[in-house]
Amino acid sequence: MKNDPFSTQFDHALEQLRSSLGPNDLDGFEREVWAEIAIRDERLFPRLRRWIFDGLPTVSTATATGVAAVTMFLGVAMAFFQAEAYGEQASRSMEERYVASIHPVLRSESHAAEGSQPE
Amino acid sequence: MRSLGKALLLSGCLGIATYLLVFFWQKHRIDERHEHLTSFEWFAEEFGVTPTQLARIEALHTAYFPACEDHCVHYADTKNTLAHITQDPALDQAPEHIAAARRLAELEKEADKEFIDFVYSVAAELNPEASTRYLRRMKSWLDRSTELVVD
Repeated sequence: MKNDPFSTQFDHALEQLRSSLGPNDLDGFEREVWAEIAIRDERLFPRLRRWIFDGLPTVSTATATGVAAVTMFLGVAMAFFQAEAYGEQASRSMEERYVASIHPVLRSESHAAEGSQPE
Repeated sequence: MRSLGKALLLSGCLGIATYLLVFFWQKHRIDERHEHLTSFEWFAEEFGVTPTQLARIEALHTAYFPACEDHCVHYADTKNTLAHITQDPALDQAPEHIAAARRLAELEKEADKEFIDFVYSVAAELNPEASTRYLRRMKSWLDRSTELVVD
């Protein structure tokens, strides 16, 4: 099931026209036009775009809304998961600062690292 | 009716936009919280220190910091001296070299001992669960400081 009748009929008519023409029926200009069309048809991006927009079936508005809701939910869940990992990393860095304030050797290393940092 | 391709494409963009929005909002929240947090405040928050425990633990930290700083300076000086001696081939295995290396090893041992004593004194003031967690986490840093010294 295609969603755009114009595109469907146009594609169908184009196919019919293409198959009805023999190589000797075309003059130089027409041959160039058909060659151009064939090259464009073979390009990956336009083919992919045509497949996405016209090649896939249509779905009800409720299904489309459902798909959008699911991807939004996944986006939120992944964001919270990543933020949790980021928070743990930040907490670990605070822990490092805390330990550097109470362990003389680590404190010394920490001062040395601060001192060696470029201004 | 909607094209499935368009629906998937728009939903994907919406999902990515939602992810970016929520992640950066959360990241900003975390960064802002940690930016204004001192290491002691982090400790108090992380180990659920109650206001009554806080005063005693803060006093322990305040009393410990000057001794820790002294030890830190002494350790850094000795390490610096040893580095200078090591750079000089004439002093290789000289009595100064051996003495500095021995002194550095002693200071490392003392640092670990001071750290362990302090950590246990703090842990004694915490709740049992927080105390166990605190000791476990501090122990991992003790192992790391030993690795650092070996390196």
